[in-house]
Amino acid sequence: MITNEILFIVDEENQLLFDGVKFKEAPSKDTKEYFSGAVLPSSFIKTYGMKIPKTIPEEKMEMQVEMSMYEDSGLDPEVEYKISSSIIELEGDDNFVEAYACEVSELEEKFEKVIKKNSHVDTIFPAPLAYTSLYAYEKLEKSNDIFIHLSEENSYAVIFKDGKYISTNSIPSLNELAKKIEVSPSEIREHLTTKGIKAELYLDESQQEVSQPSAPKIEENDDSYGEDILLFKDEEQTVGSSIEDKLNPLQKELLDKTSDELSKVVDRIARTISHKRGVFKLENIDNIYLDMQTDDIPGFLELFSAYGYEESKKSVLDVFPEIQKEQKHLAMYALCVLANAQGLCVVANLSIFDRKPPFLKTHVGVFSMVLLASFIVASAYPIYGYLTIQTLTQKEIELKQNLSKMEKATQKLQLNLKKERKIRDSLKKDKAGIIKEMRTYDAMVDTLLSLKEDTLKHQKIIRDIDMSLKKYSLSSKHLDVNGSNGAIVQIVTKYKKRDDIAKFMQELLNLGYTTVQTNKIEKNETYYESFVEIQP
Amino acid sequence: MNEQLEQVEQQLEDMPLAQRIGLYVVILGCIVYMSWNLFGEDMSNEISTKEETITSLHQKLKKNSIKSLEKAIKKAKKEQLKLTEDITNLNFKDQFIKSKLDALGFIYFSQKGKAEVLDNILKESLKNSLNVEYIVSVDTNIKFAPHITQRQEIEIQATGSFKGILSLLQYVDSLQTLMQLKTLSVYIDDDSNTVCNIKLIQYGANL
Repeated sequence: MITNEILFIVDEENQLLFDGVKFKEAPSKDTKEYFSGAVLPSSFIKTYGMKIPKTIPEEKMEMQVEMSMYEDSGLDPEVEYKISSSIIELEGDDNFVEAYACEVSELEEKFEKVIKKNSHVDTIFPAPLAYTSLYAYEKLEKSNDIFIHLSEENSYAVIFKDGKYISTNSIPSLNELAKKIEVSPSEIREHLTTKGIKAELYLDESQQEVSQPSAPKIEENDDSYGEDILLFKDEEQTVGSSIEDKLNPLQKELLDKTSDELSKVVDRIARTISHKRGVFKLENIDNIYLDMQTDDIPGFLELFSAYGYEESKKSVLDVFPEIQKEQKHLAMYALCVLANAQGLCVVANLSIFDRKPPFLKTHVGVFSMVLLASFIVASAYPIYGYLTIQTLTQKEIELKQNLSKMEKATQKLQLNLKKERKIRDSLKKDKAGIIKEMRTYDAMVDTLLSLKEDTLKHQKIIRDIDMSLKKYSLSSKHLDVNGSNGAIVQIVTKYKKRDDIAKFMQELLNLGYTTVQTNKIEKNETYYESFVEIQP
Repeated sequence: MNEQLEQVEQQLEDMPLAQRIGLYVVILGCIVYMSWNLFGEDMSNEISTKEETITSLHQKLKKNSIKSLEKAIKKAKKEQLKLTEDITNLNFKDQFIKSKLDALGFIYFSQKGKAEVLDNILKESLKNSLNVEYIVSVDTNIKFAPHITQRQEIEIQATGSFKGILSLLQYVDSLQTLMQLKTLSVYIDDDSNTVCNIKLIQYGANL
């Protein structure tokens, strides 16, 4: 929070930044960063003073102040009040507590628009307490002082002892004075500041030319200043009387009314001082300041001399030379807000529009953060899971697509393979067929050769048998040739030539026949018959 | 709403620190537990299922090797080329053998050839002074060997000299036809005539 500058809230439209020296316009946004404050007019505040023992703890003291406010100062128990207090330290066992109460509904109504814009006001303090800041920032020396503030709506006198606030006394506002003096409210400020209660200031120019009052002769007497004042007053009254005689009845009546009303104001303040003198041990008043936008009321402050404050220094309050006349009193309020912000002085705070602590510093904020953190932690795995599932699903889809493509390609390749293998098998079959065919040709050729060979064989068998029969002069009765497998010859010969059968058989064996045999040789009267079996 | 929040703020403020921390921990635990029960467990299962599916798909992709199929196709094509080459060579050889066999016209059987054979045998018998008693031809169609079929059986009975019989037999053997002597029986009958009984088989090639 920025504290070297504060935001002084006049109303919702009129808000100013103040750095202790001068005002500047507040930014339209981001004003929450500034410590903010406003003044509550005395008309909103019920004030009550009480003595409380110093030994009472602060918490109990607050309760007691509140109870006293309701019981003794006549607060309505049915109405909600904002109560705050200022402790004024006294000598002895007790402190004096000045308590301030303001109806919450009135505060809400007065600051409704401000709160809509600013959301909070850090401090709202009773206007008379603002003078405290003048001592905090050493714009005035700490002394026993009275500040008399006169404005159209709200006027008061504030008493300080050694720079510490003691009391406030409400006095008629300018509008009230105007009514009493019978001057237009719009003219009362000018009337008071231009004429005051000085009779010569009521004269017209024509009247002044006629009468040039001689300066009053004051005989100074160091021993008794009060006597001097009296002497002075006597002189003035003397002079005044002469001037008053020149006033017309209307002028005289206005002067009288003004003097009466201002005297009443002074009298009221003087009585208050006298009343507080005992309680606060206020021995003297060092300064009496008129706070009226640096304007003076001629003759007004001098009226205090009649109440024994001849030694008091009387002057017009002007502590903000760099600030324009109309804003000088606002500057003092703003200075008080600044002093509060910087902790240089703490005055009663009637704000019910506290600055809310940062949300995260509240328990609800921490609770919310715990909830949020819980949801983040709780949702971490679902989020991770969701993302993982998405990734895996994507991967699964890709893999399925790849697999589908591969399956299609595989299917195609399998078909190709099947086709190629079918072609291969067909070729194998063709080859086998050709080989088989060639083998049949081989077999055919073998058969042809075999037939040829058979022919040669049976020719040879017949020829060999014929030649052998001739060689041994044998006769055959029967010849059976069984193709190439052999032959059976029935040989007939004479007895004496019976050995030739054997020779015949031997001859055939010699010719290479494997089997030449006879199973039967019969002697038949004069010749032999033999059945010779021949096999190649 | 603000009043409710203020009440909550006040309640939390009034709560001892340990209790407050405990409350936060319990809330955290409850929310995490609820989240796990509502989403986490199902998601965990779904993730596991998906991972298993993906592993299975990876394995299928690994198993389903296109390369091996391509290799097999390549091998089949190579074999085809070799077979085609072999077949070409074999066909060539086959054609060569066929053409050679075709050149041997006598191996084929025809009705015309059959009649000529019988006629020639008769003529040769007369030439050799053989008295042919009968000559019988029986058509057959018995597979004898690959591409060779037994087409007819011829039986001849004749009388004459042994020499004439041998000449006839030599003539038969010399015929340009596929002829086989099945049996030959030569004997002298009661009238002292030399009788011969010849059984021949004629074959025919069919390519």
